[in-house]
Parts: sequence; structure tokens; C-alpha cells
Amino acid sequence: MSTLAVVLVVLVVTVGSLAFRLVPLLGLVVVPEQAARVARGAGVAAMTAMVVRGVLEHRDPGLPGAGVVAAASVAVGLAVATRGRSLGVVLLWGLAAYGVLASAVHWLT
Amino acid sequence: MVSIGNVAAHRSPLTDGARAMLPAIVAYVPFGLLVGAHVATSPHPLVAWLGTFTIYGGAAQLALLDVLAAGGSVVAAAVTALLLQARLAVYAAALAPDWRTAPLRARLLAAVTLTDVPWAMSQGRAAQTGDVASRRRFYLGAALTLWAAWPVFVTAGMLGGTVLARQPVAGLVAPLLFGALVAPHLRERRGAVTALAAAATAAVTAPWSTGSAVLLAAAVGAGTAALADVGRR
Repeated sequence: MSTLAVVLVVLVVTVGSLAFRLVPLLGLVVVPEQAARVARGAGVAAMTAMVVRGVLEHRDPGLPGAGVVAAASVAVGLAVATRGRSLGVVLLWGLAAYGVLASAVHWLT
Repeated sequence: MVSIGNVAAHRSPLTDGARAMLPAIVAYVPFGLLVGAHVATSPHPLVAWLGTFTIYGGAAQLALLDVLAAGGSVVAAAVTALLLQARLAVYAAALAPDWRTAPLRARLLAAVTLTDVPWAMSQGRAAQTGDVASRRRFYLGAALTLWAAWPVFVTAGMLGGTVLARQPVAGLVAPLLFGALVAPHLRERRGAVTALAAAATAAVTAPWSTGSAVLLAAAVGAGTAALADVGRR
């Protein structure tokens, strides 16, 4: 892969990313309030999808059932988050849950 | 510590935004290091590193580098990364009503710094205050803080963050971070139904590329949210 090809890809993605960000915010396309409300739903949906994919794509070669452990850990984090706790606390709970569950699986197997 | 769903008004909304972003910044460290590690192993690290500033989307930058490293074509790499970035148009459309009356330079700054977490935080703020100017300043405080920190993490990853980034547990940071931002929406029926539909879509489309799957989930989520709005009337 030549340097020029890599420059071209980065340039195309840069221009595309800027367009995605700029077009609605500069008013080049008028976004009605109802459409903005639906877009907020789409944004929540996009983030939810990234949570699910993050769990499904989780790999831990040394841990049997790593996907289940990851899902349980994220579920713990979500449970803490729905109680209105801070991002830092959610992360601590989620990662601690992973550590505890991974240790338990190692101990049992 | 600042609560996600109830960011107290401390000093100015700009400072509040920056303070609210700090825990998320910590959460971004492993992800930034991971992207930096990929940048370092790229055949053209300088170009790949410059993309950190211009693309300003870790997942898209990572996908782009992965496709190229796997021998994919220029078109495949660009399409994959652009599909991932397309969600930014959704975020920008949702923000647009708040920024209609803002000066051009402020709208440019808001657009250039737009990404997942500042957007989600601004939505949480919108639920608390009806003051548009305050909401805009809060968003800019959060977005500029992340915008300043992100290249530092990627650069650190280039210089030797591979050990931390390759720990399996580091892969859970992003789902936990996004989950924490989605969670407040689950308290409302509309948000819960939207998230459920998106989660089911993401599970069904697991074999797809991330960009396509996230876009479809966003579309399904938008449809579900619109139906929920119709059902309420």
C-alpha cells in the first residue's frame, strides 16, 4: 500500500466525517424539531448497538466463556448507571465485576 | 464525583461540561492507547497519526487501519470508516435546533468536536435545563476537553501503550462507557423501547461489519422512537 493511497483514504474519511458533522449544524439542511427528536432516538440506538457489539466481540483467550463474563460485567455496569451513578463509578463496578467473575471462572475450571 | 444524570451547576456551564467529561476521559485512555498502538504498526504511521486530528473518531480510524493492514482496498477502508462515522450526522441533526441561533464560529467548533460522549452528555443536560445558551456552553466544555485529550492518548499509545491496550479487560471499557451514557434513557419507556430494538438489531447483525450494523440499528431505533411518539399522541 503506497503512502499516496493511505493519504487518499485518510483524506476521504476526513472530508466525509466533516460533512456528517457540519451539514446539519451549519443549517445547510434544516432539521425540524420532530426530526431532531427522532435523531436523538437514533443516537441512543447507535450507542446501544455499540454496547452490544462490544460485548459480542469481546475476546479473552485465557478465559472460558469470556463472552458471558463480559455480558454479566456490562450488565452490572448498566445496573449501577441506571441508579444515576457517575461514569467513573460505573467503570469501576463493571471492570471489578469482570475481575471477580473471571477469577471465579478460573477457580472453577 | 459528578453524576451522569444530574450534573450540578458548579461555576459556569463551560466548566461544568469540562468537569462532567473528566471521568469519561479516563475511560478513553485504553481506547486511545489501542488506536495509538495500531497507528504505530501502520506502514505509514505519520499519515495514520494525522488522521487522529482530522477524522477524530477512534473506531473509524481503527477500522480504517485494520482494513488496510488486512490487505483491503482503499475503497473498502474508506467505506468502512465512513459507515462508522455516519452516526455523527444523526448526532449533529439532534443537536441542530440548539445551535440555530449560535454564531458561525461556535457552530463550526461544535461540529468539529462532535463525537459520541459529548453528544450524549449534552442530551442529559438538555433534560435538566431549558436554557439553550447554557446547554451550548456545557456541550462545548465537554467536547473541547475530550478534543484536547484524545490526541494525547493516541500519541502515548504510539510511543508504548500496547501492553495496557492489549489487556482483554480493556475491550470492556467502551461498552461500559457507552452503556453508562445510554442508561439514563432506559428510565423512560421511549428510550427503553428504542434501546431494546437497537440491541436486538445489533445481536442479529453480529456477523456484519460494525459500520453497517450500527447504521441499521440507528435506523431501527429511529423508527421505533417515531412509532413511540405516534403511540403517545
